[in-house]
Amino acid sequence: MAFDTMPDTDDDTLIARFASGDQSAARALTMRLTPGVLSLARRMLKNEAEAEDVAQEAMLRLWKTAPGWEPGRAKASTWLYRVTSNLCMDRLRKKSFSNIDDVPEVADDTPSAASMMHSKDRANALNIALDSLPERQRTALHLRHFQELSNPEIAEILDTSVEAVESLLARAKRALADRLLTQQDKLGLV
Amino acid sequence: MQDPKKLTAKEEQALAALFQDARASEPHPSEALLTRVIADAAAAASVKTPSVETQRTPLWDRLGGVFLNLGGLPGASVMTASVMLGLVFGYAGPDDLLDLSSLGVETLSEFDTDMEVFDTADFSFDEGDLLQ
Repeated sequence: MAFDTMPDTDDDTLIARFASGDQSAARALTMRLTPGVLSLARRMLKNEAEAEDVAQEAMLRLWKTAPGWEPGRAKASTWLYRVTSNLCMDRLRKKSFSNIDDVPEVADDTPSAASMMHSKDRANALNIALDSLPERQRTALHLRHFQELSNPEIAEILDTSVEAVESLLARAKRALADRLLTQQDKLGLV
Repeated sequence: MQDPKKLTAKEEQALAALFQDARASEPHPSEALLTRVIADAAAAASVKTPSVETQRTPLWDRLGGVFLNLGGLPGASVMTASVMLGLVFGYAGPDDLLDLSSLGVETLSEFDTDMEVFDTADFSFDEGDLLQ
């Protein structure tokens, strides 16, 4: 399937068209927004099947909200990420983590030096390191570096202040650097 | 909480390279997921707008409905007469209006304003007199 079938049309216009019965607008929105939603859900839940369920549920809420969508009031992608984040938090709470920030430490199974030279392996190393972070740090970092959102947008999604987001990002990047950059030669970053 | 040690420019650069690799290697959504999402959109749209086609009522039938709402022929006649009279009065000047007396309509000035006083008027009567 081709992605973003209507790249010149903004989200608000597509949502209005969908609300008027234009199914091609629904297809364009699906192709444009689902990857980011799934990516965030995958990052938060660390489970592909659950991430797909959450992504589908988040998009369904967009379809149901479309008739009453007010253009310009909120960015569709930001709204979706917030819905996704909340749905993921609900699932994580149901799994009975006593403190949502206490994510079990992932075992350090960094591949050998030889395999780490490939970019895919470097990506793998980063993903493993990201998974070891507390949930909110991981989410903030993902939204910043994978969805390329601004700090105010991240604050809106996480329902917190911009200062809190900056603090989360600083701590998260420090933890990543401490974990990964001590192996720069293995990662081929030198 | 103590502020973490700020990253150096070199550390920022190294992390940026790792993030770039990770973004490039992110898996796309599966075809199955995309199909389900689009199917949900179609289902949501069909709930909002039923697929039953609504036929437009012919103009003649709609006019007939208005006619009946006015009260049929009698009602329409009265309304038409009122409209015509209103137009006449509205456009006609005072001099053009018909002399109402020519229509045989009596005006107040023609009435004898002297009231006849009943000679035998006796406003005092005993109870029961009227029954006699």
